[in-house]
Amino acid sequence: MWQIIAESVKSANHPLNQDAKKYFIPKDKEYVVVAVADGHGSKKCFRSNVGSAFAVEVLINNFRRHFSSNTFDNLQAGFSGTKDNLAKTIHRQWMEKVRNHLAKNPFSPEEELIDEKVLNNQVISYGTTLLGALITKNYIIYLQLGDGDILVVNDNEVTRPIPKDENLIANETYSLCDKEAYSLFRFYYQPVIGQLPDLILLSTDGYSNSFPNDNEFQKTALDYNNLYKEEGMSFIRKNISGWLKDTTVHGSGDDLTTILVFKTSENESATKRETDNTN
Amino acid sequence: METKRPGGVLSNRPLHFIWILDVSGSMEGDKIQSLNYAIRNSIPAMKSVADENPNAEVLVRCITFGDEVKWHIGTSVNVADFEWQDVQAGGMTPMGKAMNLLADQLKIPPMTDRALPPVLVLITDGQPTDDFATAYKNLMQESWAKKAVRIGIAMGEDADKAVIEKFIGNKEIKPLVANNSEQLVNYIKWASTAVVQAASSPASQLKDEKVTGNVPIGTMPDVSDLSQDNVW
Repeated sequence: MWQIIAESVKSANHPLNQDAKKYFIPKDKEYVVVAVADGHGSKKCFRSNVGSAFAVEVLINNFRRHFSSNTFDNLQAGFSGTKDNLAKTIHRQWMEKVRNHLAKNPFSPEEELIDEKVLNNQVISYGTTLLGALITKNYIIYLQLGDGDILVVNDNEVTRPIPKDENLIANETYSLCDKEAYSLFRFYYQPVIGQLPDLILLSTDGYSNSFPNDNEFQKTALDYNNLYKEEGMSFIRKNISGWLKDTTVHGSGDDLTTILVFKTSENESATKRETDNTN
Repeated sequence: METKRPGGVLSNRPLHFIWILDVSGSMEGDKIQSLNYAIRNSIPAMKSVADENPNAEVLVRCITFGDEVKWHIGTSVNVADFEWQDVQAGGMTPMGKAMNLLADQLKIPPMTDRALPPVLVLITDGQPTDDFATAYKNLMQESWAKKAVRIGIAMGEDADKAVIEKFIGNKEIKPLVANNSEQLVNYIKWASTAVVQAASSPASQLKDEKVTGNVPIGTMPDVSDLSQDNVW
C-alpha cells in the first residue's frame, strides 16, 4: 500500500547533519508513521543533532502506541483533548530523554563556555523542530512544531494540510526546547474518504528555502509523483541524494531532509517491509 | 539518462543590506568625505564575504536623510555589481522620515518570507529634527524590522547616542562611536563583512518574542590599535 523513501544530506556549511528522519511500517502494513526533525544548528543549539534524533524517535513511538490502542479511531470527534495530550506527552518524553542524556553526558568545559543562557538552561542546546504523520487506511494525522513543510499530492494538485506559519521568518522557529512547546504543536486530522493521497512529502525547511517561492517548491512534490509513476521507485532511490545535494548547494545551503510516502495500488507487492529506518 | 532534479528553479536567499545615512549640513566637509571613502573602501571585502556565502544573495540599497529623504540607491543591487555613488551633505536631520521610508520596504511584500535577516546600518552625527520616536515605533511594527540586525554608528561625540541605541534595540549591541576617519573605516568594514557573514547563516534560531534581532553577530570591532584622536 505504501512505499517510502527517506533521505538527508548535510549542508556544506555545517560540521555535521543536525536533521533526523525515521519511519516505521508494521508487519501487517496497516499503517505508516513518518517523522523528520530539524536540529537548529545555531551556536546555542550545539547538541541539536541529538535533540532531533530523540524527537523523531519519540514521535514514532507515540503514534505507534496510539494506533495500537485505537486512540485515534474517532479522533475527529474528540480531537482537541487527544491532540493536547499527545503534544504534552511527546514534549515531556523528549524532555526526559534530553535530561537523561545530559545526566550521562554533562557539558564539557568547552560547551560550558559557549553561552551563559544555555549553561543556565541546558535543554536549549538540543533544540529541534518536529514534523510527522500517521497514515492509515481510514485517516491521516499530520503534526508540526516549528518550521518545515508537509505537502500532499492528490490528482496532480498539491495542498498543505498544515499551512505555513506566517510568524516564522528570519530563520526563527518554535522548538521542542521551549518550556511550553506542547502548546505550539499544530495538528491536522484528515479522514480518508475514497483514495489515500498519491504522495505525502515531509521536509525540513532547507528544502523549501532553496526555492524563490512556494510554487517553485511545490513542483518538487508533483515531480516526485510523476517520476514515481513514470520511472519507478528505484530510479528515485538512485538519484535522490544527488538531487538534494544539488538543491542545497544552489539553494539554501542548509541541511536538507525529506521523507516521501507514495501510495501503491492494493495488488502491488512492491511495499518492502522496512521497519525502524533511522537517520 | 538525464536525471532531472524534481522541483522548480533554485535560488539562494536574499540578504538585504541597507545603509541609512545622515547627510545633513553638519556632515559637510571631512565627515561626508570620510563616509564616502569608508563605504567605497568596504566594498571589496563585502564582495569577498558574499563570495564565501553563495547561499545568500547580498543586495545593497541606501537611504539618505538631509535636504530630502530619499533612496540614494533604491533598486537592490547585488553586491557583486555594487558601486558606491558619493553622497552630498546639506539640510536638516529628518531621521524619522528615513524610518518611514525604510518601513515601506520592509513590508511583506515587497519582502518575501524566505529572506535572511536584513542588515540595517544607521550612520549619523547628530540628532533627529523630526519625530523619530513615532516613526521608529511604526517601523518596528514590521516583522522584518524586528528581525533585522540593526547596527548604529555615531560620527563624533555630538551624535545622539540614545537615539542610536533606540534604533539598535538590543542591549548586546552598542552604538559604535567613530571619532575619526580611521575608526569609521573600521566600523563600516565590520558592519559590511562580519555582520553580513553572521546574517548569511541558514542556522535556525529559537523564536524570540522580543523586539531584537536574533542573529549572533559575535564580537564588536576592536579599535584598540587605531588612532584615538578626536577629529570630529
